[in-house]
Amino acid sequence: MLVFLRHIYMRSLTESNDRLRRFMRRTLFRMRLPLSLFIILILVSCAASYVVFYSAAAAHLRGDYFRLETKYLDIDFPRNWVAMSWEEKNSSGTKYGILLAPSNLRAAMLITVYDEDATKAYLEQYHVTDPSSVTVFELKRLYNWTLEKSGNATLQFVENGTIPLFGYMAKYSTAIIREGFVDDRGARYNWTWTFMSAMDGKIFQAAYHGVGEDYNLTANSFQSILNATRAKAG
Amino acid sequence: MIRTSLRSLEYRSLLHIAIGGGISFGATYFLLSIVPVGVRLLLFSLGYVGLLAFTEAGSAMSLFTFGTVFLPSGFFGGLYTGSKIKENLRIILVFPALIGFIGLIALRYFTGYINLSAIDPQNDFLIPILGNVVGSYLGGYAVNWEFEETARPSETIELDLSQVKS
Repeated sequence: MLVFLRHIYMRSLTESNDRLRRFMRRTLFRMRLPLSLFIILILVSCAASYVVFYSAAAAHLRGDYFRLETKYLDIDFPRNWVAMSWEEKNSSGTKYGILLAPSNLRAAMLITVYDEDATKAYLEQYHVTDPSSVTVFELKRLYNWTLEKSGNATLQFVENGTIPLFGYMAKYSTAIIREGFVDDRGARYNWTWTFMSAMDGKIFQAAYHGVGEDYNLTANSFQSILNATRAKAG
Repeated sequence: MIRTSLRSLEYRSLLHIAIGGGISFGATYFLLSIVPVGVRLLLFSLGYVGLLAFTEAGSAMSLFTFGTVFLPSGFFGGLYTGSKIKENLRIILVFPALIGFIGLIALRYFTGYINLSAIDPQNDFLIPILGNVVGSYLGGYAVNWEFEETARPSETIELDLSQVKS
């Protein structure tokens, strides 16, 4: 019996070795099979990624703009701009951020939304009560951060007022941080910021900035993006 | 089986495995510094750089990186190891891929690219290791494949006139 089983086992082993040997001689498109598979896998992954890119573009494109839908905001931005969105979750709530920037200018816009819990924590932590104090607090915080890099920088408020933002009335301030921006070569430039904030249980903040003349070149585009942005209930 | 195979490995084989891993790691580093930048430049020149803000574009980028970075890197490492070592390929070929992968993770960790509090298991681990391992096996077996040229039949037909009956 044992001899018989051993015979069966050895025969199956030989057959499987033969099968393997036969398999290892297979070719595809007149190339060794692993090489063909390697090329096929590369082509398939490139084609699949192209299809996904194409379908994403088709799904989000609105004329010359992309529509970025986040939990609280729908934003249309020019398709040749750099954009990023992120979430910061911690024990005190969730903060949603969006960054938009033209790719050829030193200017950018940052939009931040704090959910209800994060709003409570923010107001308690920084001892602020209304949109106006939030705006001033953030500009001063920004100025203090700038002083670490450029000790000679001075803050000059240019304009204050009220402006519609995502369907709410927001308080805004425009300020120039003189010699506040230092580039890689050490050259100093004026850095202009417009900061606005609105509150309705949640804090909505929008800030856009530009270095030197780049602020004037982009301010209208930033403002029209903000005007076209719609707030959602979340 | 694995233990027996590992015991039979010589010092020279270990050296070739390490070199294969080094090739895999070097190729990953080189391609990773070119491919994502190239895709961004392409999208920028097409005027669609904003597309990268969407999660679908992130998935497409991962797929593209799998096919053009991790798979070829593993393939090159496997190609070298397979050309130097001819036995126990089924077990040995996993090591160059693992060395390349661990080297990449270490580099990313020490350069601050990987944040331990916000690890992306798919992009940071799954895709690199899958690409490296599959590529390594394909490379290792490609060089050891028993390639047989099939003999082509002669194109000219010779006629034996002595056998032609009148």
